[in-house]
Parts: sequence; C-alpha cells; structure tokens
Amino acid sequence: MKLLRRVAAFVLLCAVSAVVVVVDRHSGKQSVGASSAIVEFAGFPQASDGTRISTSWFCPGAAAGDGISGASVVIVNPSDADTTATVNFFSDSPSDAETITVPARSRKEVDVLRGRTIGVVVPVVEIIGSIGSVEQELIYAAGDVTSQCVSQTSSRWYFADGFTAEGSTQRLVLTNPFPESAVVNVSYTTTNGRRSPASLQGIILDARSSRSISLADAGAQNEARLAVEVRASTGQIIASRIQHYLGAGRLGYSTTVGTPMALRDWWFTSGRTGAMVSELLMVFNPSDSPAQVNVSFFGAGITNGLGIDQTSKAAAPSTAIDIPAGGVVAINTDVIADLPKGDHAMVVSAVNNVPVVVEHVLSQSVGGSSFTAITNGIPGGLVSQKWRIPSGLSNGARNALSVVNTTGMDGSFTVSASGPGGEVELPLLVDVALGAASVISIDVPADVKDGEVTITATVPVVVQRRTTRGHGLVGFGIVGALPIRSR
Amino acid sequence: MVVHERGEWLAESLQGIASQNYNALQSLVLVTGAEDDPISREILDVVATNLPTAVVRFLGGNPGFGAACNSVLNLVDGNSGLFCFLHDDVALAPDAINQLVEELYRSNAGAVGPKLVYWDDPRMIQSVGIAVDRFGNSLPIADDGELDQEQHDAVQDVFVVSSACIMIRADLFATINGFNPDLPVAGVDLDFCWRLHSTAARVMVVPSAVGRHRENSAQSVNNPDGVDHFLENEIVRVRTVISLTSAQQLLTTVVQMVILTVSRFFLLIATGRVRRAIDEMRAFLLLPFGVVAIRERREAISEHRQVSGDEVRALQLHGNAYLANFLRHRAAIAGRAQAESADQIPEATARSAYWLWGILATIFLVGSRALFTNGVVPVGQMAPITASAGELVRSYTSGWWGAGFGHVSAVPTGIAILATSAVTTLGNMGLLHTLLVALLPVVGWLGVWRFASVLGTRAARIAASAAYAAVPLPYAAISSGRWSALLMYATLPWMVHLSRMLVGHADLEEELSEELMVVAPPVLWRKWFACLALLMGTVTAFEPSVVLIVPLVALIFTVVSVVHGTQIRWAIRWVVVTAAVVVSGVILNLPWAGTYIRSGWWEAITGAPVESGRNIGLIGLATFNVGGFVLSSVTVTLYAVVIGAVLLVHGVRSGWVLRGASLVAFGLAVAMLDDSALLPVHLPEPAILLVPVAFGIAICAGAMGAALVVDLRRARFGWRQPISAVVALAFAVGLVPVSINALNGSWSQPSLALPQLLTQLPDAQSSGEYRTMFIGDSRVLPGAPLNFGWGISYSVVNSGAPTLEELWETPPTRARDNAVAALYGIVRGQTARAGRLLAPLSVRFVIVPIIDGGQSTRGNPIAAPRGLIDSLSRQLDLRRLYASPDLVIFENASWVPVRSMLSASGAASSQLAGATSMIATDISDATPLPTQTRPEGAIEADVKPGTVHLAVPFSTHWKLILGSTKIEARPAFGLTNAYDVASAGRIRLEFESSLIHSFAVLLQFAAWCVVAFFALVRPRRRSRKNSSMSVTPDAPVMRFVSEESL
Repeated sequence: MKLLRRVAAFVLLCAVSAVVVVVDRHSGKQSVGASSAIVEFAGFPQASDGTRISTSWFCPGAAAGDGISGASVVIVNPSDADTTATVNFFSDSPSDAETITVPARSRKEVDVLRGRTIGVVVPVVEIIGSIGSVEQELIYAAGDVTSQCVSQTSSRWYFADGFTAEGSTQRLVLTNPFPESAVVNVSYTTTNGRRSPASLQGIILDARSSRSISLADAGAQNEARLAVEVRASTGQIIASRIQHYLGAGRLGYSTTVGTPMALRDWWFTSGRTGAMVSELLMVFNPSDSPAQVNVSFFGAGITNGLGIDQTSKAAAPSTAIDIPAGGVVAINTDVIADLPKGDHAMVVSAVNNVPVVVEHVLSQSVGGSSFTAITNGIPGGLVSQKWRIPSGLSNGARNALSVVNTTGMDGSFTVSASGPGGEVELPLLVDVALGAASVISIDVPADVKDGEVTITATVPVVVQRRTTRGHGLVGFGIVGALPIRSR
Repeated sequence: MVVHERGEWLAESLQGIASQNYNALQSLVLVTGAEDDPISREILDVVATNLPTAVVRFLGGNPGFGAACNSVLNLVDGNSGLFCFLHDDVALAPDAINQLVEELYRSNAGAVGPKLVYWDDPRMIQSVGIAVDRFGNSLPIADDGELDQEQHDAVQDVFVVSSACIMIRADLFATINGFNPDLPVAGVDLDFCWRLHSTAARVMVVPSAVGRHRENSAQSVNNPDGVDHFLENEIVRVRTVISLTSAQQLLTTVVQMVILTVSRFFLLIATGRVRRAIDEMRAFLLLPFGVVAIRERREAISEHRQVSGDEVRALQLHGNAYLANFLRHRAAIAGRAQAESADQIPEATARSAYWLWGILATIFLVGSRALFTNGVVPVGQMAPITASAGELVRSYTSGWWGAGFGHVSAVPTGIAILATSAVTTLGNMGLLHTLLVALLPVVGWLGVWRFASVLGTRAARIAASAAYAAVPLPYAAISSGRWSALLMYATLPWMVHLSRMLVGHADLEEELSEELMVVAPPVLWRKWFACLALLMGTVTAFEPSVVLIVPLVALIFTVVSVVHGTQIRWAIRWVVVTAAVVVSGVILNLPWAGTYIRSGWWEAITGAPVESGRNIGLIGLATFNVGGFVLSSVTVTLYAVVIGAVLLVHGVRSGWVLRGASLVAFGLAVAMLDDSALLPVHLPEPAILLVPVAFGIAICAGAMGAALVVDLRRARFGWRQPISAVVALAFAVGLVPVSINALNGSWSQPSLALPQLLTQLPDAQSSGEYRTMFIGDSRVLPGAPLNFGWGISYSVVNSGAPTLEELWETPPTRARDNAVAALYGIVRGQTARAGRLLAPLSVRFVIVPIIDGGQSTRGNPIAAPRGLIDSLSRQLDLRRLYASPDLVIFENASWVPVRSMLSASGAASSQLAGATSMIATDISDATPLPTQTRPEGAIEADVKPGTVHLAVPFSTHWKLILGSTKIEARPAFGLTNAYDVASAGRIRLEFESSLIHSFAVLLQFAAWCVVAFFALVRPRRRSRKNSSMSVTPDAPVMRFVSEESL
C-alpha cells in the first residue's frame, strides 16, 4: 500500500512537471495597448461612427485682409440632442475660445475672423460627444470656398500642388494646438528641384498659436510647380495652404489642410476633360527613391477603366509615369490616349511601392470666365461604404455629387439628409444603382435643406462633391466627403 | 523560617536551627497556609517535635517568600537585633549563626550569608555569593556543583547573597522596608541586595558558616505550579535594573541595554535558543508597561539611598556576566558533549549550526551593508515612508484615505502597523524602512529553521535553512523592489510552521515508523492559533494575496497528506485550520478589509495583471529570475535536492518530502500557467507565487540533509550513496551564487530608480498640491497599479514620487471613474481633451515609466504599451515635459491645485457635471491655496469671494469654516468638493472624522489587543494575591533580646 501511494505520488509529480514543460512552450500574446488610439490615416478628413467623448476638428484657417469678406466654421449637429462645442481661435496672438450650443438636427456657423482685419486665424472646434462634424467656409468675391477640417494632427504634411506664378500668392499656415512649442522645418520642390531655405528651418511654433508663411517671400516666386513638405521635428501640428490664383491659367481662391502622408493609391471622382478644361494631377514624391505611377480612369466610354477590387488584379495601367525622388510631376490627363471628353473618376497608383502625394487641379474657362478647383486625393485606405457631407449640398445643383464604385461588383447607394425632422432619404436618390467600377454624378433635388448629407452604399465607394462658387459665378469647387470609419 | 510544605527535609532544617550554639537565637516559623489545614497541622507537629521553642504563625495563604519575611516587621518588636531568613530546605551547621553574627559585627556588614552546599553532598558548593553586572545579570562566585576544596573560603564582599539564608540587621531591614513583596525569589535577591548597597551597607558571604540547601523552597513557595518563569525573571531583572540604577547612569545603562539585548537576540537566535531570545527581547519591549511600578520603586529607593550610583557600580561585576558565564562553561559543555556523543545517533554537531548561522550572518551583513549605510533605494514597492509615526496614526484614525484621489474610508491596517512598528526604531522611519527590507530574509531563514524542527534532526534544520537562504528569490525581490514577495518569503515558513503544529504534525523522531499526529493542549493550541492569526492579519494588511497563497499551500498539503496515507481527519485539519486563520486574518483587518467587497476584488487582491503574460519562462521561474541576481541560473542545481529527496528519503520523513516536492511542482506549474496567461484569472506576481517553491526546496533539502546524516550513514553501501553524493555536490554548487551576490552590498539594487528621476518634478509648495498619474505596464508603475485593460495599467499618487502609504489600492470612487474615462479617451482615442477631464482631479503630470530600475532595466526593458506615448502626444492639453528612454513626462496644462480658488469661468463650469463642463472650459487659472503635507490635514487661508475647490471625491466630511460660519459643500463638476464663499475672510478647510469610523477603529484595536494577548503573553502563574494571608499578623509575637540576657 505504501509503495502504491509512493508510486502514485511520484506519478503525480511527474505529471505536474510535464505540464510545466508543456506550458513553457506556449508563447504569450501581445497586448493591444493604446494602438487603437492611433487612427489609421490620421490627419485625413474622416469621421468615426464609434462613441467618443469629444472630437477635435482642425480647420485650415482664414487670412484676414486677404480679400475675403467672411469666414466661418460650420458645426453640424445631426443628433436628436443639443451639442456643446468650443471653438478655439489660434493666431499669432494668444488663443481665444468660444463655447456654443448647437441645437439638435441643426447647424451653426461661427465667425472665425471676429473683426480681425489682418493675420491668419485658425479655428479648432471641440465637439463634446461623438456626433457632429465641421467644415470651414470662406466668402470671397472671386468664389466661395468650402474646406474640410481634420480631426488629427500630424508631424508631417505634404502639399503636392503649389502656385505662385504671375502674382499668385501661396501661404503656408502652420498651427500648433498643443500646449508646448513645436519646431518645424519646411522645404519645397519646384521645377528646379528641392530647396530648404534657412529661413524655413527650425521654425519655432509657439504653443497654441498659428503662423502664416508666404512662400514667395521664402524664395518661391513665380513658380508654377511648387510642392511643399512640412516636418515637425518636435511636436505635432496642422499645416494648411491658402492659395490665391491670379493668372497663368488659374483663377480663384483655395484653402485646404495638407496631406499628412504619402500613399500608394489616390482616388478622385470629379475629373473632367474637355475643350476649355485643363486637368492636372500633381504628383509629388517626397521620398528619396524614384516612384512610378499610373492612372486608371472610370466613366462612360472609358476603355482603360477596368473594374478593380481588392481581391482581384488592379486595373491595367493607362500609362506609367516616372516621378523622380523628391520631385513633382504634373500629369495632364488631356494627353492620355483614348480618354473620352467629359467627366470621369481616377485612381492614381504607385506601381513600385514608393508612396506619393497627389492633388487634382481642374481649371476651366466658361463663357469668358474661368475657375480653378483644387482637391486632395482620397487615399485608397479610406474607401468606405458610408460618407458624410457636413455642410450639405447646394439646392438644385447639377452633378453635385460624384460617386465611384471602387469594386468589381454592382452596388447601389442612398443619399439622405438631416433636417429638423431628422434624417430622411432624398427622393429619387434611394438605392441608386452603381455598376461595377463605375462612376455616377447626381443632381441635387431642389428642396434639399442645408443639413448634413449622408451617402450610404452597398459597396465601398469614394465620394466627392462639387460646390457652387456663389456670387453668380460659374464653375465649381471640388471638396471630398468625409468617409465614416468603423472603430 | 518560611515553611511552605511538609517535606521530609523539614525536620532536618528545623534541627539545624535547634542545634545552633548562638544563645540569643529566637525562632519564628511562618507557615504558608491556614491553621486548620491538615498539612499545616502536620507542619506544626514537625515544628513542635524538632524546634519546640519556635513561635509558629500561620500566614493563611501563600503570599510569597518576600512578603512572608516582611511579616517579621510586625511580628517582632524592636529593631536592635538581627534577622536571619531561611528557606525551609536549609539545614545550617551548628555554628553557622554564630559565625554569621561574628562576621557581621566584625565587618560591620549590613547583610551576610553562609556558604550553601548541596543537601545530599556537602562537598559540592551551591553558592558562595553572586556577582552581578550593571544589567542585573548574575555570575555565581562558584560554579553550581563545584567541588568544595576551600577555594572560596575567604570572607568577601559580594553583590548578592542567596535569600535561602541571609542575615541582616533588623534596623536596616526596616529601613528598606524589607523584601519587595511583588517580586519572585530570583528577583527578590537582586532587588534586596541592590537596595542594601544603595544604603551603603556591605553584603558579605561568610564561608565558615555553612548551610545545606536542598533548592526546593524557591519552587514550592514562589513557583507552586512548577512553570518555567524565565520570561518573568527577565522582566523582573530588566525592571530592577531600571528601578535601581541611579539617575545619572540610567540613560547610559538603557542604551547599553538596548545594544546588548539586540545583540543577544541575534546571538541566541543564531544558536537555536529562539525561545530565550524572544523572551529576553519581550522582557525589554514590555518595559514601557512597567513604567508606573518602576517610578514607584525609584521613589521608594530614593528615600534611603545613601551612596551614589558610581559606588554601587563599583561593587558590580565589570564587563558582561554573559560573556564570563560563556567562557566559564565553554570547556565544560564541550567536554560533556564529547562524553555524550558516543551514545547518540549520528547527528550534525552544534558547531555546524554555529557555522551555518555565522555564514548566514556574514552573508546578511555583507550583502546588506549598503542598505544599512545608504538606505534602501526606493525601487518598486519599496517606496519611502515620508510620514512620521504620529502622522500615520492620525491618518489611520481620521477615516480619510489620502492615497489616489482620496476616499472617505477605513484606512489600511498596514498604516497602523507601520506606525506601531516605529516604536522599535524610536520613531526613525528611515531606519524602520531599511529594517523592513533588510531583515525580512533573515526572518525567513529563522522561520525555516524553526519549521525544520518537524524533520527531527539538526542536520535537517541546517540544510533547510541553507537551501532557503540560497534561493535567489529574496535578493531578487530586494533588487527589483518586490516588497510583498519579500514579506511572503519571510512569513510563509512561520505560517506553515504554526499551521502544522495546529494541525497536529509533531516533530519527527527516529523511532517512529510514520508521522505522529497529536493535538496540542488547548492552552498551547490557543496561543499558536493566536500567533498565526496575528501573523496572517499582519501579512494581509500589507499583501492581501496571502489569503490565496496560504490556502493554496494548505490545499497542496491536504491532497498530498491524503495521498501519502495520512488519515483524512488529520488532512482535513489543514483546510479547517487554514480557513479559520484566513478568516481571522481578514477579521483583524476589518474595517479596511471590507473595502474589498466590491467588483474588481480579485484584481485588488492579486494586483494589476500583465495581460499578455510576463513570459519569464520555465528557466526564468525555476531560477527565481524576478530581479537582479548574478548567476541565478546556477541555482537550478538546488532542485537536485528535490529530486534526490523524492528518490532517496524513506521512512518517517517521506511525507514531508512529498509535501515539499509538491509545493515545488505545483508552485512552478501555477507560476508557469500565469506567466503564459493561460489561466482564466490572473494570479499574484511570480515573485509571490515562487515563495512556496522556495519553501518546498527548503523542505526537501531538510529531509535530504537528515537522510544524508542519519539514514544513509546507517544504510549499507549501495546506489543511494553515490546519488546522495551527487545531490550534495549539486546542492553545494547551488549555494555559491548567493555568496557572490552578497559582495554587491545591496543585493543589486539599482543605483537609480524611478522615484529618483521624479525628483525633477516641482514640489507642492511652489505651485500648489498636485497629483501624478502613471500609465503603462503594471510592472513598472509605482504606487498601487490598477488594471485598465489592453495591457495598460495606471496609478495615481500625490505629488510626484510615491510613498509607502500609497501602495494600497483604494476603492473605486466617482473621481476614479472620471480618471478612467479620461484614460479611456487617451487609450482608445476618444478625445484629445483628456487633460481637461483630469484637471478637476488635480492631475498635473501624466507619466509613462519605461525603466523603473527594478523589473524593467536598461538591459532588459519593459516597453511602454503600444501606441501609448503616441496617443498621449496627441492630447491637446498635455505638454511633453521630459522624454527619455527611462520615462516620458507630460504636464497637464489644464490642471488645478488640490486646494484652490477657481477662476470665474472655472467656478461657473464647476456648477455643471460631466464631460461637457470639463472639456468646454479651461479651468487652469485657479489660484492655489496653502499647501498641506498630509492629505487629511487642515489648512487656513485668507480668501476673497469666490469658489473654493477641493479636488477630492465629493464628501460632506470636508468642512469649510469662514470665520465662524460653516459653508456647505456642493459637488463640483459632479465629482469634487466646492464651497461658494460669498465674502472675503479667513477660511479653515478640514476633515471631520465620523463617530462610526472612530468606533470601528477602537473595535479593531481591541481585537488586535485580544489576539496579541493570547499570542504573546505566556500563561502567568497563579497570582499570590489569590492566596493572600487570612491572618493579619498585627500583634508582635516576640521581641529582640540580648545574648547576655539569656
């Protein structure tokens, strides 16, 4: 009996020891940590459908004394409850703030300049809660400008397009919303190559301040190609561009937040070619390696716009263009063979894995008048089934909304708008068919209110809109919609 | 003569008096007991037969020898003669009284005593006087049992003569009020003679006067129950020294006494005389309880003190009586041991134990030298104690738990224990901190030494203690700042030792074929249980996970005992005893322990988890790699004793081998499962889980040691001997690393730890009190880390660096919930305004520790959780103040001081609750109010009309008085306290304790006192007061007469 017990005990010990050895071979898992706080494609205009405590919206800012007659941020509250928002105004003087309440299912515009006649003011809006979005609007005699705001800062910003030819002006607005100083280095690339002027190196951006830099004053005068790279060696910032076109084929006013990173795929839905149209894709390669890109087009009659989706091979490249390291190249879509005249969508893809930054510049002359619309590309990673347009669409506008199906599957989409009665689907814009790898431009019904518009598709799509210039001016501006990201 | 019982010797003693040739001798026999008692009647018959001239008085009870003698002051009229006091077992030679009287007059002595010899063998000396050193320790002039060769026959002054027979002048006896009636015999002698010396009287021994002493009276009169009264005698000795030493010499003597007591404590412990060591220490520690009596005794002696202390000191033994005794008996002991060794079973010699403890003491002193000289580096849980003992007591009784964001709650019992412990260092908290770290390994070694007595041989105790000392765990714990593991290492052996005695595991003996299970007597069982409950309560107060570890050990022992063949009823006792002890320990920690009754209690007990597992690995765990320890991999050879013990040890010790091996196997298995995060719940940190493993190794080593010395020596040569030799060699190799690590001097504590890096943070005086939130991996966070999720933990401390008071996890409050929400916003990217959410809570700094110097070092860093620093960098109110590979410090630009006057916008915002009010408004313009070093402390300030803000969870216990007007508190931001002050004036902001809390504290104190009483106070002999004299000897029964008159 004793021996039996002894053996049993010995076996028990051996079993436990074996467990120990077996467990030792198991490797642990890695914790998520705070990685979920790091938003993918941070710094691009986008919105989240998750619960949030507050959302910060960083807008490009407005330059007082630049000829604009008004600047405001539009805060939209599509929810059923009032929302509190705080608008912080950053400039070269101490920041100021204003707290407002946005009633349910409505929008509120807050003046940005607030009587200022000089200097740049950058609004940063803090919306308490998870619902609501923000855009910036400028009233300008040569065409109103609607600009997207972003909800993340970045240490790097790129601008593929720039223009100081024939008296055109370009300001770089650097904003530091943090309570510590940031150190910023700016370099730009022209047709003569990359330059890093000493005056643009080691710029100390005080805490909670904003600063405007004229690129012409920094040596980039009369440049038709002007790509800019902003790097914050300390801290994170918002970099935006305020552009006033006065000649050399461009006319108008533009403000936009920069692009925070170079990527491989850039989508544009509001392309156009035609007799009086000049369409350029400005491709900037900020890396030290040469890049190679191609452009695929989507639209009626386009032969090279093969359907693509994420699981099949990419569309056959229409053409391959070399982008030298650190260089900027303008791709004129007019010279691409077989591209029918008219509206189209495009995707610019880097074929050798060297990321680039792409902007779309569309200039058109109509009846003796002309306009220039500039828009940042939408990264391929931000393709979404749900998009939001904070400041809504213009009543009765034609071709106001361009939606491109980025997949090889047929789909549909529905457009709904928020108003006093809540969110309602727009008549004739419910379950609109959207073929595989196709683009559709839709008109806006006349009775649409100026509330937030939501586009919900059954397939991943990219959405951009055309905005009116106001003041009876012909032409349009192009502004992306906000992709809704699930978290 | 004081007669206590009717022994066969009594007649001979009485005849000795009757045969005296001194004419003026009158005899008074004082009988303890009532006259109608049958024994008293027998005594009366014996007296009437042998000393018919004697006057007999019955004392009615047993008042003790001293009190009985003092009755002569009433019974004998006049004071012109001499008293000779005798025990009833002293038979004097016929000329003894005469010799004593002659010498007393010749030498003008105050008191004299005879040479006492053995009753049965008068050739052997029992006493010729006693020398005493300044500490009351006695050194007999002659050894007890020394052959009388007339070598001590010179009349000489001595400090003490035995009260078995002492002659004293009657007037002197009256002057000093006789013997001290409250003292036992041993103390009576010393006290009586010391007081005689203080009156300038000589005390002499007269060897020409001889008395045979049977050495019986002391036991019968003063020790009727025959209990060992060493502790009581020690208490008497200590108090006598303090009572009778002159005022000028008192301070020096006390200091010397402290040093001597502490030194002897360690010496006695090291030599295995634990009971005696504890008794001596207890006698000294109990000194404060006798202050009143000591003062009375000092006042009494001051009335007849005639000489200075120096003169008395000159009569005392120079040097140390212990040392003299030791040297005198050393040769005799050695000789006896040599003579006896021939008949003993093979056993390690006592010299081996001396060597072991000598080596361990050397390792301890060398290894800890930097800790004693430079203090403990505040790494990990070894945060400094910044408060004084008084402040800790006030904090404990206040009912305001200031850790974290503060809380109206019962304060951890550990705070009170710390304050109480400060008595041992005379209030020096730095020294206490050092001792609490440096001494714990020694406590563990002693615990194993004590526990290993169950294995029955000295060799087992030596091997077990050596093994326990050789495992890297305690040193790695010191290195990495895991104080809770160190505490567990120190106390687990003691807890298991007491548990096994309560369960009934008796010490093993060679003759036994199987384990002997016995139930201890109720008195002892109660005492052991109280000791264990006290220990459990104390450990629980600091490391609550002990309520999991001890039951785990007990469960393993239960299962193994059943498997091994122990009767179920004995095995079950492990469960029952442990459950009772755990419950008792928890009860002792009420009301604080009640704060664990909530959701999240498991994590509160086990600590914040490491979600992905620590991944130390089997080798790392097996070599106790939880901190810095050079050559830790070598210690894997210690496991040889586990394997060796399982294979080689048979017989009565095999049960304990199985228990030890099971502790090792199951302990490692559990640690491995937790290390790999494979369990559904996480367990305490590996350093704690590995303590049972270390203890299991020690048990196996003990059993192996016994087997090597006893079993294998007896056995015929076979395969066991070579294997045992290999095991012994491996074990010896495993002992080496600890010696090498000791050379470091601080057990590889880092030179720079996280709290030292935090000294760059501003102090509260400059800009107001603030809090600091630490975020990161739970292993590197100071204070009490709380699990947040996704592999992230956080802790909040007042000011910059944590203190020991902040190591306990506070219960959840709304303030904490708000901080968690802010943290959620940071970690999950749900807001860029977390700084404003933290602002009303006075969180000024948010720190991500990466290298704490303990568990995370430059050589083996624990990376910050993924994306944490990046997400913090995106917070619009957090300013990156400092960034290095060690830590990243962010300052919250929106913070407000803990006590402040809010700005107008802040005051308006404070009216609202929730994130809206906090995020929408920047409240950073608040004006700090005067600072207070203690969280529960009151402040006073002159303020203007406005809103006073107190960044603690809302509580009406915080009162604000403006002049004489009390201003009601209102919730601010839905979280904290605000007081709207309408007019300028002087305010006082203070915390008011509740009566319920005060009552609970009193109850807890009473509970601890009761348990401590049962645990520490030994059963006292029945008080003499119970048998007070029934006959009060008021009237004199005789008077002094001259020899000539007779």
